[in-house]
Amino acid sequence: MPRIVGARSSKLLLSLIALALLFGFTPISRQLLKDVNGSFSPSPFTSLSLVVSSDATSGIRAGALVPVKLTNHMGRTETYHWNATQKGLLISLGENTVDNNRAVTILVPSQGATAGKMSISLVGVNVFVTVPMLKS
Amino acid sequence: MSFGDTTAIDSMRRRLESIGRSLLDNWRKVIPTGLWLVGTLLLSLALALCHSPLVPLPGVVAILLIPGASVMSTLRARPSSTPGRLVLAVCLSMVVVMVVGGVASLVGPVLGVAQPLDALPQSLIWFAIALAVLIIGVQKQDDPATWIFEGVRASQVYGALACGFLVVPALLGVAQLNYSGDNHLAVCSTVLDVAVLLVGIVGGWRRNNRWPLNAILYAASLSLLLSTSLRGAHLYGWDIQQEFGDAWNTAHAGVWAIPANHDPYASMLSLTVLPAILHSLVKLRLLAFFQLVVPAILALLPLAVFSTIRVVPRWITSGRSAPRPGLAFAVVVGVIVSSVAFSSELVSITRQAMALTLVTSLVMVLFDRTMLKRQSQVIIGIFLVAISFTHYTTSYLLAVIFLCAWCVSIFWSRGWLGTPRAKRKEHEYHARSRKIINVILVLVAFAAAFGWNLGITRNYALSAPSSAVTTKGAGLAAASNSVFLTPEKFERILVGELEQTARWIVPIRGAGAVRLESAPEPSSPALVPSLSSSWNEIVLYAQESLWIVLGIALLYGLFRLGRRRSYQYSADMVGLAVAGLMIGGFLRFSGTLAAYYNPERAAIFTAILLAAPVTLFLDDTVTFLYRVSPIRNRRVSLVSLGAGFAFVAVLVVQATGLGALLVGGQAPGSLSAHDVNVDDFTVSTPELATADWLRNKVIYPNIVQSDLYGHLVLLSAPGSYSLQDQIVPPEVDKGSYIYLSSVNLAGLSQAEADNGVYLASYRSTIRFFNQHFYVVYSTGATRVYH
Repeated sequence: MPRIVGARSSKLLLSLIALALLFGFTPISRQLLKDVNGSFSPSPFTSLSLVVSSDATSGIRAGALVPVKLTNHMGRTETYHWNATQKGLLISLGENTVDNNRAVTILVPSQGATAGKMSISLVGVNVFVTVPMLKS
Repeated sequence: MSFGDTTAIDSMRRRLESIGRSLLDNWRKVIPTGLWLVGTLLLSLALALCHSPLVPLPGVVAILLIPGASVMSTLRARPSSTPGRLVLAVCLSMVVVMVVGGVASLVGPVLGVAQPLDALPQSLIWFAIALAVLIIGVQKQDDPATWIFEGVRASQVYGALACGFLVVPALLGVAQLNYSGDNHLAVCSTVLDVAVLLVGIVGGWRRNNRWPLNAILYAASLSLLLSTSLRGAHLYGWDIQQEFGDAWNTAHAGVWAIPANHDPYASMLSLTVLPAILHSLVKLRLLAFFQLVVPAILALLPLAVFSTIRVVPRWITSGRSAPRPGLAFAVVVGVIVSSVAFSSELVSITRQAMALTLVTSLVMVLFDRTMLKRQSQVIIGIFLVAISFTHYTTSYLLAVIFLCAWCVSIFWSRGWLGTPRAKRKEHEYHARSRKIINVILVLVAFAAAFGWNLGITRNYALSAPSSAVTTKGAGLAAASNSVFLTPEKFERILVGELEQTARWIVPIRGAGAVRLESAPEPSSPALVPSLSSSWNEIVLYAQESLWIVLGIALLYGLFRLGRRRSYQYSADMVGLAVAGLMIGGFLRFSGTLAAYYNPERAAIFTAILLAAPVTLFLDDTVTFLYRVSPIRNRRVSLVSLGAGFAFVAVLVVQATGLGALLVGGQAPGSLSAHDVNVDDFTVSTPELATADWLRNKVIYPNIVQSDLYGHLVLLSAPGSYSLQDQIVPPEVDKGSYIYLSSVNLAGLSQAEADNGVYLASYRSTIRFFNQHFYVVYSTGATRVYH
């Protein structure tokens, strides 16, 4: 290690302080961040997307299954309730449990849908996708 | 066995023992560096076993110090102060890493190593380099670690550790601001940093004080920079997003190649090879490189300036003692830490942050009187070359500055600067050896800047500003800032633009009928809004008068030189100051160039070059004031020094953003939860995830359109799609993907006219997108329409 001028005990103490700071960093920083209500962790979120984004331009025949991808980045396992609606009318609904940092593909039934825009949303949050439905 | 054989064996044994002893003695010399390397390895392993986030730290410290220290000891170059040695070691280490990565990338594929920047090839390369460092140390009989740390006292380390705790409130403050939106701790931390810097001026005023000014300066600068760099969930700022994208591409490709599209960012080894090597070798996350390592390097900039100006510069051999440390500290705080570029811009412009740190180190070497002339010239040459692949603009500017400085020193050494004709020969004889900047360094600067950027990488960094100057002229009277228009006025400009863009846009029918509505921009509440106009006036005078101080300091230097007393001043110093002030002034008043290199970024360049003349001028002024009998009065001197202190205090309070919180204005993102700067420069986790989704799902020839707020994060995760930063309804193509960011969904959008001058904020036209497009991706905080 670099040569530092000073008493041997002083150098030993310095090394001990440095080691204590290095190895104590994780618990100390965790406690301090908790005390000030701060965090550097990514903020939690959930995403919903069309598996085939070109479905938005080509459309899907009413009655067919609409594949959507649900991704969980909430930091814990979540059970999501979703529904598909058209002009305020419920077309289908369901629930899926997704582990943290995992994604599932949901095949949303569209029986009963008519030509026009259908919305697939997660219940209780402003997360949704919309698809153009074509005549069956 | 005969008697002769026994003697021969004994003699051989003795010889072997002697060789072994001498080898051991030689290797004993490099024990500190060897132990450091082994310690780094063991510590990294131990931290990895503890799952500590600090695993890369020992490796980063070693790689940013040991190669540079080895170069220094090989060249036998050592600045007089320990902080100066540290800065030089870090800068030279950066150069070594960039050169090693660049060479590996060019040679590796030829030798069959397709990804030479990956972990395995880099581990082998750096193991070989570590061995080479030790062997060179043995041969030169100098240990690199001892070379930079010799003479450091335990008490100094304790002082540095204590000052290091300044960083803790800054980290906690930004964590609190990011997570809960509470800015109390962030404000307290900034107030603490400002207070410590100001107290340092007072504490360091006496020439023989023992205040740890270096540690205070580094810690306070670092905590100010970290409070900005860690803001948001990703990176803070505009340029840095694109820089991150280039670093990500290089790290994932495992090799750096000359960019086929001649992109200037991707042509810089500082943005590609350096982060990629640290990522593969010591497992440093790319985000951590930009958020933590770059601020740690940038915080060396004021430290290097302070190391330069707190001692008597090279060539001045008579009639001067070292300036007061407090005065030198005040100059650094006033012109460097308080500059707009340092406090809020450079941390978001990685390439320039690193290049300016190299420039500062170069200036330090140039003025360090303890370093020999030849070694200094070699190191300056190395830096001139390195800056060309660190930041293109800095290298061009530095080449011009070196040319100007060389011309000035020629004027002086030939006696054309006030020397009577009769005394010119004698003056020329004295002056000839007393300068560092020579024609060879000027040629190296030009060859490096133009060779790398125009010859090798052929990047287009120079083409846009040069064609702008060719077509518009310097535009000395032109406005240099963007102009905000009302949505109504902006729409009228848009009509003209549409005629040009209509060639490729297929707009939605009826989009032209959508009217833009104005929307209020967020702002922080002021503590004392009534003081706003007076405070702004004081700040304006203080900032403008800085230029006057710089100008007077330069004239003073010219005056000292003009008296032909070469031992009282330095021609190099005056040359650099003249060039720095000329370039700074030109960029400040050129409206055309301001669009490519803003005046604030030029101002810090000027400040670095003029810090030494300003310190000498102010030190002479203070000494003169102390000597003049009417001013020797304690009260008068206190008032005049207090005015100077207040001047620096105003500058630093304004630069850190505390002024905006006090009287109103746009507070920096580091101090506010909801302000214009937060909307403009921060990125949230859902935004980053959306940018990643777009990169993976939308491919060429599809188009992604966003407004200026949304554009920010898309730079960080560039895809193969075409990107348009306009979502004003008439300019939206019906086949595009439309990205709406968190700010957009909260109701605010921002548009820029094609000329880059006119901007407008307006209420997001979400209803238009809901009516005419489908949502293909949504996170609640962001949305993508198609």
